[in-house]
Amino acid sequence: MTDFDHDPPRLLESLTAERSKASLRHDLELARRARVDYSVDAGLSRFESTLAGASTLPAGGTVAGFAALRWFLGATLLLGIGVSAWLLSQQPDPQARAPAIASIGSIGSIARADDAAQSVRSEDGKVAEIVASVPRGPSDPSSVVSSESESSPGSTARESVAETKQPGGTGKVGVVLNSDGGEPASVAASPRPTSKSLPTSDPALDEAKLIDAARKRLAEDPAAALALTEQAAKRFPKGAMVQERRGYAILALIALDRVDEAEQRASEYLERWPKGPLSRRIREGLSLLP
Amino acid sequence: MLEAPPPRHHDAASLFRQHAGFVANFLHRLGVGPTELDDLVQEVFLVSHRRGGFVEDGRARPTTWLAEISIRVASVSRRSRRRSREQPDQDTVLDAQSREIDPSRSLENQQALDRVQAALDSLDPERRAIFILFELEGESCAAIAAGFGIPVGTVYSRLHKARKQFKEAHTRLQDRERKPLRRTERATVMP
Repeated sequence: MTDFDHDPPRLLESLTAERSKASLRHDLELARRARVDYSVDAGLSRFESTLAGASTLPAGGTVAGFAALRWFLGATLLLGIGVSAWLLSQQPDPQARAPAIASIGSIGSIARADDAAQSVRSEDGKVAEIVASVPRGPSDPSSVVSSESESSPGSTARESVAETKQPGGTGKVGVVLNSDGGEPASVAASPRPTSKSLPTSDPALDEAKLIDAARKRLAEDPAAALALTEQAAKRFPKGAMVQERRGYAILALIALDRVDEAEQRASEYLERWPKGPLSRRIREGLSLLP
Repeated sequence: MLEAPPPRHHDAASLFRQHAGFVANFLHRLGVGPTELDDLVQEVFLVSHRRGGFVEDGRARPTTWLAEISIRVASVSRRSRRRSREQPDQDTVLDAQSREIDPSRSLENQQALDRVQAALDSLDPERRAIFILFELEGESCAAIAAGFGIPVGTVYSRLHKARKQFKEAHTRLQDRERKPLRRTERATVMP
């Protein structure tokens, strides 16, 4: 931690010695004391009612959600070990044991060099990675960005946009975040885990990440934000964040000057959510369109 | 050196209760107008909620952490409007003068606040935010650096430049105010 003593003196303190700067000092003192009128109680009431609304909360986006996810993964891990141990006891042939051994090893991060287990390990290696990175790691290769990228504008967190081809699916634009400076492509290129015995993805969390990515892109690249909202609409047509998804899509359309589409969608949106958290911004945006 | 306190979690609702005033003030100083202030305050805390709240570990403070979110939220709002040509960049002085005037404040005080706001508006957003947090909100450079995820040296550097620009802008604004006054005085003296 940096020593606070190294901070320079505040401008107000240094100006006290300069008589010629009396006006600046006076203005700064006033500004320091001035506070904008804001009713915290009214704002908090609105905030809590927004949180209470079903559309706003990603279940996995809360601390409680993450904690529940950890418990679930822990229970699954124990169950997996138990089942694998039972399989071992039931199978005397060493060749037949290989997949089960690999499964345990990958979950517990134990390396096994059994050729017969390679295919299982590659899948379970991904599972182990997910367990280690909960709640931040992207669990779906085609999904997007953790909220970590927001937390530090100048940090080492990096975003990259990758186009990935899913087997049996279309190419999707995915933004992959790497908060620890590792290779983002390795996550994006990993095969989708196919094991059905372990949870590999939380749809609500993935949806929240997509919407969050759209929100962040809105300023710098509204076209990309719009694409992300459309991607979210395809992947989560009945997701919990429909309101946010549609709202940010409309704001992106406004920013792109796509007036007709924006007005059409906004009409439906405002009819459905006249007092939504984004409604006022949408109204203001529409009212100022040419 | 004092021992670091144990990490403490703040959920979004408690953050709102304690720091909504700070966020509203910070957004206002970043140039957010009164019509969208409440919406953007809400959005800042929604983002904080989606991030799972704030864990105070002795480095960043809740205020500097929320300030970083506020900058992003304000930036999105500003750029969206600019892109759609809804609200072209106005002259900073005009922008400051168009703000709500609290009738309880004297005209002189209001002019002083407008001068400060106009000088702030002349800074680029990164420097402006650091200047506001350090000079007006009393945050430490280390807390700002931790909140923004940048080296503390960068904070010093931006602060230094921000101060220089702020002083220059303030002087310029004062000079601009004095000039028309002199003309007015001359006009009243001359028949």
